[in-house]
Amino acid sequence: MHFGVFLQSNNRLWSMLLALWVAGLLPTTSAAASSFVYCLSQGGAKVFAGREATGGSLAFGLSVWSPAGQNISLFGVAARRGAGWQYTENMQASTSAERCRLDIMRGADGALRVVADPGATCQSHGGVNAEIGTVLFPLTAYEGIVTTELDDPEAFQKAGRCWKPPTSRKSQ
Amino acid sequence: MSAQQQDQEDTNFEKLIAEREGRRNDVYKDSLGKLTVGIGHLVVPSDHLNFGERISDEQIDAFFEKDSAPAMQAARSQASAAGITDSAFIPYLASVNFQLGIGWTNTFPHTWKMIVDGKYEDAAKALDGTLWAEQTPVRVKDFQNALRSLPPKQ
Repeated sequence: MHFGVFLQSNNRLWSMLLALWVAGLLPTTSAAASSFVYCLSQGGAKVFAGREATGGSLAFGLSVWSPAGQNISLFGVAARRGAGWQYTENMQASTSAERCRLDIMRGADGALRVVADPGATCQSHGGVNAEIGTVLFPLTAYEGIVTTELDDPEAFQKAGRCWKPPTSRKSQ
Repeated sequence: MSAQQQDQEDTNFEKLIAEREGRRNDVYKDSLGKLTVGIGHLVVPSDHLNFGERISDEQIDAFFEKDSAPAMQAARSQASAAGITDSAFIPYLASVNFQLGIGWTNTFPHTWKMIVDGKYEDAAKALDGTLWAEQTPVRVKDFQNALRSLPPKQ
Protein backbone atom coordinates (compact mmCIF):
# COMPACT_ATOMS: atom_id res chain seq x y z
CA MET A 1 0.00 0.00 0.00
CA HIS A 2 1.31 3.44 -0.90
CA PHE A 3 1.93 5.73 2.08
CA GLY A 4 -0.55 8.32 0.69
CA VAL A 5 -3.28 5.72 0.42
CA PHE A 6 -2.43 4.50 3.90
CA LEU A 7 -2.78 8.04 5.24
CA GLN A 8 -6.09 8.59 3.51
CA SER A 9 -7.41 5.42 5.04
CA ASN A 10 -6.28 6.52 8.47
CA ASN A 11 -8.04 9.81 9.15
CA ARG A 12 -6.75 10.15 12.68
CA LEU A 13 -3.10 9.85 11.66
CA TRP A 14 -3.71 12.19 8.72
CA SER A 15 -5.23 14.84 10.99
CA MET A 16 -2.33 14.57 13.40
CA LEU A 17 0.27 14.95 10.66
CA LEU A 18 -1.63 17.87 9.13
CA ALA A 19 -1.80 19.61 12.50
CA LEU A 20 1.93 19.14 13.04
CA TRP A 21 2.69 20.41 9.56
CA VAL A 22 0.43 23.44 9.89
CA ALA A 23 1.97 24.20 13.25
CA GLY A 24 5.39 24.12 11.61
CA LEU A 25 6.56 21.19 13.65
CA LEU A 26 7.35 18.92 10.71
CA PRO A 27 10.36 19.54 8.48
CA THR A 28 9.58 20.96 5.05
CA THR A 29 11.60 21.70 1.95
CA SER A 30 10.12 25.10 1.15
CA ALA A 31 10.53 28.46 2.86
CA ALA A 32 6.93 29.14 1.91
CA ALA A 33 5.87 26.53 4.43
CA SER A 34 6.44 29.13 7.17
CA SER A 35 3.43 30.98 5.86
CA PHE A 36 -0.22 30.25 6.44
CA VAL A 37 -3.71 31.40 5.55
CA TYR A 38 -6.73 30.72 7.73
CA CYS A 39 -10.34 31.48 6.86
CA LEU A 40 -13.57 31.31 8.81
CA SER A 41 -17.04 32.19 7.66
CA GLN A 42 -19.02 31.94 10.88
CA GLY A 43 -21.04 35.08 11.56
CA GLY A 44 -19.06 37.13 9.07
CA ALA A 45 -15.81 36.12 7.41
CA LYS A 46 -12.54 36.15 9.25
CA VAL A 47 -9.27 35.86 7.35
CA PHE A 48 -5.68 35.73 8.54
CA ALA A 49 -2.59 35.47 6.37
CA GLY A 50 0.87 35.33 7.93
CA ARG A 51 4.43 34.81 6.71
CA GLU A 52 7.34 34.42 9.07
CA ALA A 53 10.63 36.09 8.18
CA THR A 54 13.98 34.51 8.94
CA GLY A 55 14.41 36.92 11.84
CA GLY A 56 11.23 35.60 13.41
CA SER A 57 8.91 38.52 12.71
CA LEU A 58 5.55 37.87 11.09
CA ALA A 59 4.14 39.85 8.17
CA PHE A 60 0.39 39.49 8.42
CA GLY A 61 -3.01 40.60 7.27
CA LEU A 62 -6.18 40.24 9.29
CA SER A 63 -9.73 40.98 8.24
CA VAL A 64 -12.71 40.49 10.54
CA TRP A 65 -16.29 40.98 9.34
CA SER A 66 -19.13 41.34 11.81
CA PRO A 67 -22.48 39.63 11.22
CA ALA A 68 -23.86 43.11 10.41
CA GLY A 69 -21.27 43.59 7.67
CA GLN A 70 -18.88 45.96 9.44
CA ASN A 71 -15.19 45.34 8.87
CA ILE A 72 -11.91 45.82 10.66
CA SER A 73 -8.68 45.10 8.80
CA LEU A 74 -5.05 45.22 9.82
CA PHE A 75 -1.94 44.76 7.72
CA GLY A 76 1.47 44.90 9.34
CA VAL A 77 4.46 43.15 10.86
CA ALA A 78 4.33 41.54 14.29
CA ALA A 79 7.42 40.95 16.39
CA ARG A 80 8.31 37.54 17.75
CA ARG A 81 7.23 37.27 21.37
CA GLY A 82 7.68 33.96 23.17
CA ALA A 83 6.06 31.19 21.21
CA GLY A 84 3.96 33.65 19.20
CA TRP A 85 4.02 37.19 17.89
CA GLN A 86 2.83 40.56 19.05
CA TYR A 87 1.81 43.57 16.99
CA THR A 88 1.67 47.00 18.60
CA GLU A 89 0.85 50.38 17.16
CA ASN A 90 0.16 53.83 18.48
CA MET A 91 0.36 52.70 22.11
CA GLN A 92 0.71 56.30 23.33
CA ALA A 93 -2.71 57.28 21.95
CA SER A 94 -5.34 58.55 24.34
CA THR A 95 -8.11 56.06 23.55
CA SER A 96 -8.20 52.27 23.57
CA ALA A 97 -9.64 52.32 20.04
CA GLU A 98 -6.59 54.17 18.73
CA ARG A 99 -4.12 51.98 20.61
CA CYS A 100 -3.50 48.62 19.03
CA ARG A 101 -1.99 45.45 20.43
CA LEU A 102 -2.54 41.99 18.97
CA ASP A 103 -1.22 38.70 20.25
CA ILE A 104 -0.93 35.99 17.62
CA MET A 105 -0.34 32.39 18.63
CA ARG A 106 -0.23 29.10 16.77
CA GLY A 107 -0.84 26.00 18.82
CA ALA A 108 0.70 22.59 18.36
CA ASP A 109 -2.77 21.48 17.29
CA GLY A 110 -2.54 23.73 14.23
CA ALA A 111 -5.05 26.26 15.52
CA LEU A 112 -4.36 30.00 15.32
CA ARG A 113 -5.47 32.40 18.01
CA VAL A 114 -5.56 36.17 17.52
CA VAL A 115 -6.38 38.32 20.53
CA ALA A 116 -6.79 42.09 20.67
CA ASP A 117 -5.88 43.70 23.98
CA PRO A 118 -9.04 45.11 25.64
CA GLY A 119 -7.00 48.23 26.42
CA ALA A 120 -5.66 48.54 22.87
CA THR A 121 -8.44 47.25 20.66
CA CYS A 122 -7.23 48.52 17.25
CA GLN A 123 -10.81 49.64 16.53
CA SER A 124 -9.62 52.77 14.76
CA HIS A 125 -8.72 50.40 11.92
CA GLY A 126 -12.35 49.45 11.41
CA GLY A 127 -15.84 50.66 10.77
CA VAL A 128 -18.39 51.65 13.37
CA ASN A 129 -18.82 48.87 15.97
CA ALA A 130 -16.29 46.60 14.22
CA GLU A 131 -14.00 44.75 16.60
CA ILE A 132 -11.41 41.99 16.62
CA GLY A 133 -11.80 40.69 20.15
CA THR A 134 -10.59 37.11 20.17
CA VAL A 135 -10.56 35.11 16.97
CA LEU A 136 -9.84 31.41 17.11
CA PHE A 137 -9.09 29.72 13.81
CA PRO A 138 -9.24 25.95 14.31
CA LEU A 139 -7.13 23.59 12.25
CA THR A 140 -10.08 23.11 9.92
CA ALA A 141 -9.84 26.83 9.02
CA TYR A 142 -6.35 26.35 7.60
CA GLU A 143 -6.44 27.01 3.86
CA GLY A 144 -2.80 26.69 2.84
CA ILE A 145 0.30 28.81 2.41
CA VAL A 146 0.43 32.46 1.41
CA THR A 147 0.48 33.15 -2.31
CA THR A 148 -0.40 36.77 -3.15
CA GLU A 149 -2.25 37.68 0.04
CA LEU A 150 0.60 39.65 1.57
CA ASP A 151 1.75 41.45 -1.57
CA ASP A 152 0.00 44.59 -0.35
CA PRO A 153 -3.09 45.50 1.71
CA GLU A 154 -5.41 45.45 -1.28
CA ALA A 155 -4.14 42.08 -2.49
CA PHE A 156 -5.03 40.75 0.94
CA GLN A 157 -8.60 41.97 0.44
CA LYS A 158 -8.81 39.81 -2.67
CA ALA A 159 -8.15 36.58 -0.82
CA GLY A 160 -10.85 34.99 -2.90
CA ARG A 161 -10.06 31.43 -2.00
CA CYS A 162 -11.18 32.15 1.54
CA TRP A 163 -14.65 33.13 0.63
CA LYS A 164 -17.53 30.88 1.53
CA PRO A 165 -20.93 31.87 0.10
CA PRO A 166 -22.81 34.10 2.54
CA THR A 167 -26.27 32.96 3.46
CA SER A 168 -27.90 35.88 5.20
CA ARG A 169 -26.50 39.19 4.06
CA LYS A 170 -27.98 39.65 0.62
CA SER A 171 -29.52 42.95 1.70
CA GLN A 172 -26.26 44.40 2.92
CA MET B 1 -20.69 74.34 0.42
CA SER B 2 -23.95 75.60 1.84
CA ALA B 3 -25.38 74.46 5.16
CA GLN B 4 -28.46 73.31 3.27
CA GLN B 5 -26.36 71.11 1.02
CA GLN B 6 -24.59 69.61 4.03
CA ASP B 7 -27.93 68.90 5.71
CA GLN B 8 -29.10 67.14 2.58
CA GLU B 9 -25.95 65.00 2.50
CA ASP B 10 -26.43 64.12 6.17
CA THR B 11 -30.07 63.18 5.58
CA ASN B 12 -29.24 61.04 2.56
CA PHE B 13 -26.45 59.32 4.44
CA GLU B 14 -28.70 58.43 7.36
CA LYS B 15 -31.35 57.15 4.97
CA LEU B 16 -28.79 55.00 3.13
CA ILE B 17 -27.41 53.40 6.28
CA ALA B 18 -30.91 52.85 7.68
CA GLU B 19 -31.84 51.02 4.47
CA ARG B 20 -28.82 48.77 4.79
CA GLU B 21 -28.70 48.25 8.56
CA GLY B 22 -32.32 48.78 9.56
CA ARG B 23 -33.80 51.26 12.01
CA ARG B 24 -35.48 50.25 15.24
CA ASN B 25 -36.99 52.27 18.07
CA ASP B 26 -36.81 49.39 20.55
CA VAL B 27 -33.65 48.20 22.28
CA TYR B 28 -32.88 44.71 20.99
CA LYS B 29 -30.02 42.23 21.02
CA ASP B 30 -27.98 41.93 17.85
CA SER B 31 -26.73 38.60 16.52
CA LEU B 32 -23.84 38.73 18.99
CA GLY B 33 -26.19 39.41 21.89
CA LYS B 34 -25.23 43.05 22.27
CA LEU B 35 -27.90 45.61 23.13
CA THR B 36 -28.58 47.72 20.07
CA VAL B 37 -31.04 50.44 19.11
CA GLY B 38 -31.72 52.86 16.29
CA ILE B 39 -29.45 52.50 13.30
CA GLY B 40 -26.98 49.94 14.62
CA HIS B 41 -26.18 51.98 17.72
CA LEU B 42 -24.54 49.79 20.36
CA VAL B 43 -25.99 50.68 23.73
CA VAL B 44 -23.41 51.84 26.28
CA PRO B 45 -23.99 52.24 30.04
CA SER B 46 -24.22 56.03 29.75
CA ASP B 47 -27.24 55.62 27.43
CA HIS B 48 -29.22 54.28 30.43
CA LEU B 49 -31.27 52.01 28.19
CA ASN B 50 -32.57 48.51 28.88
CA PHE B 51 -33.64 45.65 26.66
CA GLY B 52 -37.09 46.28 25.16
CA GLU B 53 -37.13 49.98 25.98
CA ARG B 54 -38.25 52.34 23.21
CA ILE B 55 -36.63 55.58 22.13
CA SER B 56 -37.92 58.43 19.99
CA ASP B 57 -37.06 59.08 16.35
CA GLU B 58 -35.20 62.18 17.47
CA GLN B 59 -33.06 60.07 19.81
CA ILE B 60 -32.29 57.67 16.96
CA ASP B 61 -31.20 60.61 14.81
CA ALA B 62 -29.03 61.92 17.65
CA PHE B 63 -27.32 58.57 18.18
CA PHE B 64 -26.68 58.23 14.47
CA GLU B 65 -25.33 61.73 14.14
CA LYS B 66 -22.82 61.03 16.89
CA ASP B 67 -21.87 57.54 15.68
CA SER B 68 -21.47 58.59 12.07
CA ALA B 69 -19.80 61.98 12.46
CA PRO B 70 -16.23 60.68 11.89
CA ALA B 71 -17.35 58.82 8.75
CA MET B 72 -19.07 61.86 7.31
CA GLN B 73 -16.15 64.12 8.16
CA ALA B 74 -13.70 61.67 6.55
CA ALA B 75 -15.88 61.40 3.45
CA ARG B 76 -15.89 65.16 2.92
CA SER B 77 -12.14 65.30 3.45
CA GLN B 78 -11.52 62.40 1.04
CA ALA B 79 -13.82 63.84 -1.61
CA SER B 80 -11.95 67.10 -1.39
CA ALA B 81 -8.59 65.33 -1.70
CA ALA B 82 -9.88 63.46 -4.74
CA GLY B 83 -11.25 66.59 -6.35
CA ILE B 84 -14.83 65.34 -6.20
CA THR B 85 -17.46 68.04 -5.77
CA ASP B 86 -20.59 66.01 -6.57
CA SER B 87 -22.69 66.28 -3.42
CA ALA B 88 -24.66 63.13 -4.28
CA PHE B 89 -21.47 61.06 -3.92
CA ILE B 90 -20.76 62.08 -0.33
CA PRO B 91 -23.31 59.79 1.40
CA TYR B 92 -21.93 56.77 -0.44
CA LEU B 93 -18.36 57.65 0.43
CA ALA B 94 -19.46 58.19 4.03
CA SER B 95 -21.07 54.77 3.97
CA VAL B 96 -17.73 53.22 3.01
CA ASN B 97 -16.06 55.01 5.92
CA PHE B 98 -18.87 53.91 8.24
CA GLN B 99 -18.48 50.29 7.20
CA LEU B 100 -14.71 49.90 6.73
CA GLY B 101 -13.34 52.70 8.88
CA ILE B 102 -11.89 56.06 8.00
CA GLY B 103 -8.59 54.40 7.06
CA TRP B 104 -10.18 52.43 4.21
CA THR B 105 -7.98 54.26 1.70
CA ASN B 106 -5.00 52.44 3.26
CA THR B 107 -6.79 49.13 2.92
CA PHE B 108 -7.62 49.76 -0.74
CA PRO B 109 -4.69 51.94 -1.86
CA HIS B 110 -4.93 51.04 -5.56
CA THR B 111 -8.66 51.66 -5.74
CA TRP B 112 -8.22 54.94 -3.89
CA LYS B 113 -5.52 56.06 -6.33
CA MET B 114 -7.85 55.30 -9.22
CA ILE B 115 -10.50 57.49 -7.61
CA VAL B 116 -8.02 60.30 -7.08
CA ASP B 117 -6.93 59.93 -10.70
CA GLY B 118 -10.53 60.15 -11.86
CA LYS B 119 -10.57 56.56 -13.15
CA TYR B 120 -13.97 55.87 -11.66
CA GLU B 121 -14.91 52.92 -13.85
CA ASP B 122 -11.59 51.22 -13.11
CA ALA B 123 -12.10 51.84 -9.40
CA ALA B 124 -15.58 50.35 -9.52
CA LYS B 125 -14.29 47.27 -11.34
CA ALA B 126 -11.41 46.86 -8.87
CA LEU B 127 -13.90 46.15 -6.12
CA ASP B 128 -15.25 43.08 -7.87
CA GLY B 129 -13.84 39.91 -6.35
CA THR B 130 -12.91 41.48 -3.05
CA LEU B 131 -13.89 40.01 0.27
CA TRP B 132 -15.85 43.22 0.79
CA ALA B 133 -17.97 42.50 -2.28
CA GLU B 134 -18.44 38.91 -1.23
CA GLN B 135 -19.50 39.84 2.29
CA THR B 136 -21.74 42.81 1.51
CA PRO B 137 -22.54 42.80 -2.21
CA VAL B 138 -25.33 45.35 -2.00
CA ARG B 139 -23.18 47.93 -0.23
CA VAL B 140 -20.36 47.49 -2.70
CA LYS B 141 -22.85 47.80 -5.56
CA ASP B 142 -24.06 51.05 -3.97
CA PHE B 143 -20.53 52.41 -4.06
CA GLN B 144 -19.79 51.12 -7.55
CA ASN B 145 -22.95 52.78 -8.88
CA ALA B 146 -22.03 56.01 -7.13
CA LEU B 147 -18.55 55.91 -8.69
CA ARG B 148 -20.01 55.27 -12.13
CA SER B 149 -22.40 58.19 -11.71
CA LEU B 150 -19.61 60.68 -11.11
CA PRO B 151 -19.00 63.19 -13.88
CA PRO B 152 -15.60 62.85 -15.60
CA LYS B 153 -12.81 64.57 -13.74
CA GLN B 154 -11.75 67.80 -15.41
